Amino acid sequence: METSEKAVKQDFFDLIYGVLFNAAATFRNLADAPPIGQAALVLFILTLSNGIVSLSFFRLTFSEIPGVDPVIAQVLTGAFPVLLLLALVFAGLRWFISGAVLHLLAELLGGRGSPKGTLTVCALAGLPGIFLVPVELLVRLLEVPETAAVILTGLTGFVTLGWGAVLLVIGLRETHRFSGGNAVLTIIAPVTVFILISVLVAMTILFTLTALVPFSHSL
Amino acid sequence: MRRFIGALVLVLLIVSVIAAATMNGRAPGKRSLPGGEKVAVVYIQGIITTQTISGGLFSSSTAGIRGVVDALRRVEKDPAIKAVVLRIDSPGGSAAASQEVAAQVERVKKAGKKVVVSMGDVAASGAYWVAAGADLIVADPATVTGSIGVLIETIDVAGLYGKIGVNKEVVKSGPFKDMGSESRPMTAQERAIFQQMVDDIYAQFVDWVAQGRNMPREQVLVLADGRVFTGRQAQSAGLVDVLGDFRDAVREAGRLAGIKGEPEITDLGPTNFWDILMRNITGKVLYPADMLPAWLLCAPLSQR
Repeated sequence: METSEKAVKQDFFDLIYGVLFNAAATFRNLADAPPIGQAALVLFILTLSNGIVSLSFFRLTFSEIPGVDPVIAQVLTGAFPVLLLLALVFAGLRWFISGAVLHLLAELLGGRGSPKGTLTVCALAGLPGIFLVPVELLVRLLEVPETAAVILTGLTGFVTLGWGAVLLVIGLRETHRFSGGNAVLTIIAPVTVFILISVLVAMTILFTLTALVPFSHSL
Repeated sequence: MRRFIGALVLVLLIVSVIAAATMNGRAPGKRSLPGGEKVAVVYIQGIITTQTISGGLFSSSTAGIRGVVDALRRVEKDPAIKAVVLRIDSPGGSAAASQEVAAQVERVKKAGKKVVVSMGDVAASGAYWVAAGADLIVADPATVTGSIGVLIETIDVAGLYGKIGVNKEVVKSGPFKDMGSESRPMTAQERAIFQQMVDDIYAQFVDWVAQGRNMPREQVLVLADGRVFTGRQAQSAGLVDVLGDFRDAVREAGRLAGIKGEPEITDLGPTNFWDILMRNITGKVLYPADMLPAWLLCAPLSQR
């Protein structure tokens, strides 16, 4: 049914609007010819802007502390390009790894999308993060009290995370042409496995340590 | 319309990033701390010098004044801070470094803020120089303070050099260029020059104490023979205003600044790597005075 619809060519700004405010139709439209270049550009812009803002605020916090060696601020400034480059490299790696895992699971669950489509969805689903930067800036500019600032930025982070997850589900559903339930399962499965492995490792460590500690005697 | 909104979102992001990046130029201390009227606490600990000298693992370090001056500058600029408690635990240090801190204390006072000194174990010599300019000095009854005086020490190890076969050769542009050299005894002329220096710095010290404590110079001269006093003796002599602990000093600072109730404290030091890290994680160290733990208020600073 979806494949019968004629794909409409979208430019970059159309894509941004579409992913944020008309996700289902946009992802359906890009399923046949995923704009991976534009998706990579989105990932690049988001990583770069978040990196610049985080590092700037971190340096600002440092400079506001009395007695802090100015050399630290200088070193931080000097290390900016390297840190940003590292952030870009890690974002790229994370993109490919998460894309690969999600694509494998989607195929196992009957998905019919291309790897390019999965990668495109993975990058575009991060678009709600675009709103984190202005909110963080406003919190700084308006000098919102510490607790309120933490709540506000935390809430924004939570909302963008949820929004991103919803976009990922819709994107996978539309590009792989399977049910929404399968799309949710595709996302939840790696998280569940990771949690289970973490719990198992923690329990193993705990039991090993318990075995090493001598029994205590109470009177 | 879709393209316009998409472009608008992107523009919003770019503008935000540029604004965030340009915020870096702001001077430290311009941003007011959240909350109401506050009393800042600034610590002066160890030997007062212009440079911090690390003593390594097993030796003591000196307290460089840069952190203290930075903190006082922040007090001067921050409109939310109405008073500052200078918690001093120092045997003194160099006259110039003490003068620099004292000058910054004056700037804080000129900005309309109240300065209260809280003396810990010791607040003598150069540390008293700093304290003398405060609006109020609070000391524990057993605090060691005073030591108003100046000294220049040199060492003569010519005898030791002779024993180990070291002979130091000096080529100098003037007769006094190597005055204070450790490789020969001091000459009478050099001693006279040093004495003039000591007398000059001593006169500056006495003048500063007389002005800061609002005492006749003659009265200061009687006390300024280099002797140390206990906090109680210093109060009788007029070198200390109130006997009390750190908490009393905070309350006095709040009272002088006209803050109603328990003042909120802004801790502006000391800073080391872990302090900085913890501040980044937990935010600014802000808590009302009545929430200060008893161990912090009662224990000498050296134990903290």
